[in-house]
Amino acid sequence: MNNILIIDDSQLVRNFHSYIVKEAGFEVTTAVDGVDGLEKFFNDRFDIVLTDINMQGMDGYEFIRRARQSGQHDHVPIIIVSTQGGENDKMRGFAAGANLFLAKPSDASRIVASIKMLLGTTTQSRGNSPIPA
Amino acid sequence: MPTCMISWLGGWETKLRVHLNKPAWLVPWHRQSRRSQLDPAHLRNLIQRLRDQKRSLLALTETLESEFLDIGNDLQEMTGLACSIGVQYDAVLATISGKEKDSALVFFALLLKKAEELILASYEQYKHVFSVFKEVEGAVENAVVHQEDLQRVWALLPFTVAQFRIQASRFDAETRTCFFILASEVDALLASVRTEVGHQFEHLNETQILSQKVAADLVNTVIKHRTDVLMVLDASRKRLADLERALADSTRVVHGLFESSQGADRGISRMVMALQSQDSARQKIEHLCEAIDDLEQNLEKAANHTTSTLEGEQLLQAITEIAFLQRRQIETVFSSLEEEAHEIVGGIQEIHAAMEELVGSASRNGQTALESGVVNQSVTAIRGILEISRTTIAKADNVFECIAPLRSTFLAYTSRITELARGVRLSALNAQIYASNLSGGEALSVLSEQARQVSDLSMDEASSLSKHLDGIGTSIELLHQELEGFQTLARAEQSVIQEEAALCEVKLHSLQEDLPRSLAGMSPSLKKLAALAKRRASQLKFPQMVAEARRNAVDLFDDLMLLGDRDSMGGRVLDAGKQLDHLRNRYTMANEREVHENALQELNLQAGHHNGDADNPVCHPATPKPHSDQPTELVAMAEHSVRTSSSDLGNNVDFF
Repeated sequence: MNNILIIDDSQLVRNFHSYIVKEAGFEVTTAVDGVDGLEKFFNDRFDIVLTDINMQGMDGYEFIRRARQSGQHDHVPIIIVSTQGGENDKMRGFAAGANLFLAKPSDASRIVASIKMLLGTTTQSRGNSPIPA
Repeated sequence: MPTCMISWLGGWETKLRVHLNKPAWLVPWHRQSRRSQLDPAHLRNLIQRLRDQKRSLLALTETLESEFLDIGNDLQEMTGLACSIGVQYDAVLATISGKEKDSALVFFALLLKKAEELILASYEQYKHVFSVFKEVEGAVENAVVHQEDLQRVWALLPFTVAQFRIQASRFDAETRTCFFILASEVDALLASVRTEVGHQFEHLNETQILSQKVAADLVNTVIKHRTDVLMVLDASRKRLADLERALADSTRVVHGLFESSQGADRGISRMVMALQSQDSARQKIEHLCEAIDDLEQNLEKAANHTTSTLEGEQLLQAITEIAFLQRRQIETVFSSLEEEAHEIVGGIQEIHAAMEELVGSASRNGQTALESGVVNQSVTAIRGILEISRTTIAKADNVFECIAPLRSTFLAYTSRITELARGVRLSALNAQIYASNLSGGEALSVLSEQARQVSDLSMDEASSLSKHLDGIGTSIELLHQELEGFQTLARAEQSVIQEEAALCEVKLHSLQEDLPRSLAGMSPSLKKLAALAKRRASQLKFPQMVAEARRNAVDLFDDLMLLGDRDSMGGRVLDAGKQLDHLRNRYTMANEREVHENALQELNLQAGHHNGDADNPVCHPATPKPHSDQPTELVAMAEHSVRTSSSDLGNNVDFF
């Protein structure tokens, strides 16, 4: 089963993303900020990372930059899910090494579809999108 | 604090310093009249209120976070229930609409088709039977003609035998006896065959009459059977159509229910979108608190400053302008929060209303989902089909019984004629042998030859009749075999139909029972979801808190705005206002920063150009702070969340 790392400083968002990703049939690990995320990212194997940008401590850009600098997990797709959806933010995210940019608020099916697209699978592990969009 | 925020604040503080270091003569004259606002006690009161405001905002953030988490948990439960209701609907729809191969409707249609095929096959058999009967009839007519020919041939024999006796009487007693015996044998054989063949022909005539009668009866029976079958099949088709219509009505009912349940999905979606704003609302309130900290520091400076100094006036003016902008930011933050509250409350109400409606209609429609009459009529029709298939096979049995004696009659008839011909031929040959040994027996030889020729003719006639009758016999034999095969297949088919009919009945009865039960079975989930939505609606506190916090914050910043001279803010404030309006239309922090940084650059440039101009103070610290920009993003997001549909959200995905 694919393991997804969710990094967000908002517990509500972490809960929300965890719920929809779990319902879609994936395993989930959560981190509260960039530092926590990096620690988990290097200590475990993940198939996809979902990260927020604006976080206390280490923000999402810095997390992506450091994750990519290590060169260890270059193949792991990183999705930014952020309220900051401007062109500059996207460019900054992509320059840091993100693969996809989703603007908040985002519906459940969009997030699940994006994960599946990046994993290269269209099969649904369990049920449909958990939250009607 | 994010690095971008620090750099922003740094920029702002620089502007403030530039502003504070301006020469006294640059300050407009009318600001001199606002010294009363520099009253330290008033300023201390404002500082205290700012601190209270910050505490209240932080408390609001915590409450929002906690309440949104609770709503999120409830939302998960609601989503689970909505999904389970969706699964139940799918199951009901699958039961009704025959998506599955073994649905009652499809089963009924297949059964009807099979019965029709069986009956059509039986009609084909009847056609064949009729053609064979026709052939038999023709064969009997032919046999009559052949019999007459034979009788004509055989009419010569008594005359020949009499001549034989006359000629034999001329010889000695032994020879005479021998030829007399031969003549008697032929006479006896002819008489026996004539009698027997006569009987046979009588029987043949009877058979012909019988077969004609059987054929006529069969035609009548088949016509009646066909009428009955057509009636039953027509009735079955009507029942099937009724059942289909009833199921379609039920499907429409369930679709209607499903569409109503979309209200719950819409409500959940609205809540999901609104809940996601909590993250940015939290950030924006944090940024607002940082702005309050800055205001507090500046007010502290102003409170400790000599009130008569120009610097103090300038400081208050700067605070006023900051407060002016922050007040607009507060309006925006709280507007968006109120918008989210509206969405969440609206979402919950939508779920509750949809579920309440569904609870009633699910149970109501469950009772009328499938009228029992339709199912019972369908079951009767199925039984009718079964009866038809049974009678079809029974009729074939009757035909079978009629054909079997015909076959044996024809076989006996031809064999007897052949026997006669052989007997006559043998006697003629014997007579010819005796005659050849007799001197003066030429006449007897001629008569023997005549008898042999008659026998040959009989043999020929018998042979051609036999061939003809054999052909009929073969046809009958083939028909017999075919009917046997048809009977076997029909019985097997009928057994399958019987089994399937039983299954179909079971399926129809279970459909009749399951459908209302399934629909009624959804009620607990619907009720639970309705109750959950109701409970959540009653527990919502944050909308009221947001309204209260908004009032307090607006009052405070209104008072802060009275510290300086708002009129003197003039064009700069207007520009800042425009910038804010611009930001409202573009809802990202990045855009805000970009606009803010551009504005800073412009102000720096203006400061460079106009430094020393008392009427156009530049490098104003009230330029939008990075954190103070946040609410516009929230507003935009709130609007976004309200308006955005799932397809619009697709526009948010950018690929690298």
